[in-house]
Amino acid sequence: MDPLFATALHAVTVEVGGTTFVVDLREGTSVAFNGAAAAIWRGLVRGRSPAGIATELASSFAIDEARARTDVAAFLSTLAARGLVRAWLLDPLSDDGAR
Amino acid sequence: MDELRTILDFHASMLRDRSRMERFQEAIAATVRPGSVVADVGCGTGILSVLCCRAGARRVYAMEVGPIGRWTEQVIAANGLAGRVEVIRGISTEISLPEQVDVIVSETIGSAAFDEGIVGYIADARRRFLAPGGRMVPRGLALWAAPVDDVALHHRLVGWWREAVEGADVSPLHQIAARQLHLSAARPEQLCAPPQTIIKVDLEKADQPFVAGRAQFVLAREGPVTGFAIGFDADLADGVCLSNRPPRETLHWSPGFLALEEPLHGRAGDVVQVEIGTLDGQTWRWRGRVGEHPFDLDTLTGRSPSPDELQGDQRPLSLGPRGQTAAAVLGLIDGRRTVAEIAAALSQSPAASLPSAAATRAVVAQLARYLGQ
Repeated sequence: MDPLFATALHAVTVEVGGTTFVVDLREGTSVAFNGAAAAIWRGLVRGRSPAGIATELASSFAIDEARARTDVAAFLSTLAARGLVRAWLLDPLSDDGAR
Repeated sequence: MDELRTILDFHASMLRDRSRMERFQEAIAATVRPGSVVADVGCGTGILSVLCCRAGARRVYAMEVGPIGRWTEQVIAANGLAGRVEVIRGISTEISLPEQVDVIVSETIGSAAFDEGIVGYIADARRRFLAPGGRMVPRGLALWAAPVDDVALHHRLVGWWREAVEGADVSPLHQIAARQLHLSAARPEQLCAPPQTIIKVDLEKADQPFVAGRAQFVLAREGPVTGFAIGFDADLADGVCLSNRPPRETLHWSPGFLALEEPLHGRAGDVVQVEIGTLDGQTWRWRGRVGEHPFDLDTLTGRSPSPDELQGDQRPLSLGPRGQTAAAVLGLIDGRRTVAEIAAALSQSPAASLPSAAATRAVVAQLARYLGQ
């Protein structure tokens, strides 16, 4: 089963002037996302699976789906390394599903 | 005068709270030893410093940044303790003490446990002031939470912003009102499940200002869930606890209320899941589900921050009109000029970038209070 990804509780999303800011309350830092990165983050916030996000990305940015899947996976790895997302096998609010 | 009356009312409310005073007195008596040196962080009127002296403290460093600190020395003197209690005006994180202390006492407990910034203040005081083996009051602090079904409370705090006022649409403020930490008494009959401890912080060890936890509730009956009541359980000393968990014993602290954007309907047996996190009580996030209905809110969005604020220390910084005026003031401070002379000199100067002499005088007066001596 592919893992689902949930944004971390300490990663708060603020949309201002067309830019998606993600504020890391734990670290006191923020990062601004535009374009595809913002689309992927918004997909995560809406609870979409990585595959679903890649399909939307391929459609929105006119790229083939294989490349979109690769881009989404790479971006999720970066986000996970920064502690901004968590991977879950079952339910993002359940301890049982934590990886 | 209104500000002063509000401050007096606030402190009177704390001093009249018998549970608060009795628990702190018990905890201080159990913790402070004859000859102890104590740091009282956020001392307010100085009442806890007085109790520390009664317990035998040899020396108390009483720190207060708020306006009440102007009168703390008088309270201390009125109790004949001017020689034992040193009142220091300022925020504890900017104060250095001449010696290490045996005990840190701090009543910076907020209605929602962390909303007076206690975790950050205590972590700093513990690192810099406390001697090895030193003790603390409080030792631990927990946040409890419980789902609330009171639609009238939600309407009063959040929902009514959707209604027209004198025919005017004020609904843009609805989403802001929903993203605040509201302080509003939660009565037992407003809770649709018993409170649960959701976050526990060991103040003797904690050093991260972001704290978080989660809980799961089962609804006993069908109806709306409008938000979550939150409050504190404080571990003051062995067998000495203070709490505003309903039915609360303390009168001073009303529980907080984290609203949902709209009431969500739950059925009997539905599970309510919630995760709550807070950055030192200043920024809150709460998300979860009522049955199948998700929610996700935070007070950062509720402050409508600008892109500049969100970029934090990564943005280039330049001086605005107040900053240009402040820079000019700093250049005029020489230990001889008075505040009035600096304001007058600045009003005539091209460096005065504010639109009026009154605005310039106000900035100079503020700087004099903040930076001067």
